[in-house]
Amino acid sequence: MHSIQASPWLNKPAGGPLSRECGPLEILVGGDRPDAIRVIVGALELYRGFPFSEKRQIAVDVRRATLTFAARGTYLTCGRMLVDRERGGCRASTRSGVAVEHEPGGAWIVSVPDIQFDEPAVGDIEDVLSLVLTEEWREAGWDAMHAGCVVTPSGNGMLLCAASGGGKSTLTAALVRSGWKTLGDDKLLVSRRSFEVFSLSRSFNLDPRTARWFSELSAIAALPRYSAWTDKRRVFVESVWPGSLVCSAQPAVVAKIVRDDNVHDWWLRRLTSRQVLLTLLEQVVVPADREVARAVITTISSLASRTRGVELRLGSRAYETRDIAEGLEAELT
Amino acid sequence: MQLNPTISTRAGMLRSSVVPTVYGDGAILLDLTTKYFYHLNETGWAIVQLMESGAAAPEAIVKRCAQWGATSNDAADIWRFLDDLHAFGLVEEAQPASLPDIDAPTRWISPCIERQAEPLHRLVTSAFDPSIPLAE
Repeated sequence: MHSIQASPWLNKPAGGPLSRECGPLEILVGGDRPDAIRVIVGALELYRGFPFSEKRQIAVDVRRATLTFAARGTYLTCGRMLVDRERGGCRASTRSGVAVEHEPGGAWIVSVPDIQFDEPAVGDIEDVLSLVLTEEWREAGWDAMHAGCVVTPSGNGMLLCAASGGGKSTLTAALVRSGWKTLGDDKLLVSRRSFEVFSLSRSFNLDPRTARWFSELSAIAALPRYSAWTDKRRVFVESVWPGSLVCSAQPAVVAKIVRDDNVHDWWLRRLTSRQVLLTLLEQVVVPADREVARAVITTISSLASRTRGVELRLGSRAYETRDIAEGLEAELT
Repeated sequence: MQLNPTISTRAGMLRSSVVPTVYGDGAILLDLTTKYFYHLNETGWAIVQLMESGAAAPEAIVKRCAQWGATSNDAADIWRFLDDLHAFGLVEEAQPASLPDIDAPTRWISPCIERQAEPLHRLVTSAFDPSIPLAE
């Protein structure tokens, strides 16, 4: 991996890069590709949550350049991006030719070739940004978790775990409209020190069909789809349910959400300690690097040992009959 | 205790691609190559610790297990456990080294390893989202 020089614009006192906060990171974005910078800054807006007291400053330098390497995916294999990591340095390449390189202590150099900024290319830039954030959050002592989190009226934090499209957002919406609080429906950070979870986003990704259960969402079908790959719309939580968003929670319960057509409305059962651990591990990305993987698994196993778990099976009429919030609260107290 | 001759020459060391993490009384192992998780009970974890920093000869492992309370009746279970480690590809053969000093299990129970039914996804949506990518 070749050495990467720090960007000269990082030291400019004025007229330099744009600054955005993203959880415990302050991200400086600059370079000579304004179109790609707009995409990155737009994507960072989605992670605009609550301010963190400690900030780690990082730099993202976006350059007009053609891909000069092809990563092999030895660290991470994503749908459109391959990532390698060696001696603490990281580099990734995507199908559209967007790439990123990073050496410890240096800026993240994003190379964007002369390509049409269509949906896949924008998605590739967002993928690269997701890598930058995830790696830097880890450096700052946080692990990213793809899960929802709600807080019961009695103050118990509950992680909602499912794959993409598995029902996290709809369940979160159902609980929030019943008076529960939320940290978000799919983007969380877990502290490696306290194992608290923190909110990373103020928006939900909701399918327009959820409006059939929740009348306050009747207008979301008019919103644009947020990606070509999904019909979901991005909805700012507080615009629909004011006062429902909270910054952090100490999870007491892990809920594994399973869609089940054989269930009439919904059904609960307790999970074993081992099932809780496996449920949480399925919500995090574990890269193929021994030290990074060890740190991620240590965080997750520590979190698992502090929580109990339930499996929540949701049938097609889950939100039409018995009050799911009331049932969950009764089960957990 | 007598050793099973099929494994008596196979000193094993935990592969560098296997990441152990203490969990509950035992531990979990993640094989970064296959993305499979394994659960070890307390005794299984104690034996694996003997193979973490260097290769452990089965004879030496069995002798150490005897110090932890194993009897000749437990020998078959120890052999089966060591065979499982090899069969799952979690250990590799190497020249045996002296065994490290580790804490003895709180009580002797047969060592046990269980593989998770499904591995974690090798192909993920993004660095943040471990789901399988949606079809384009």
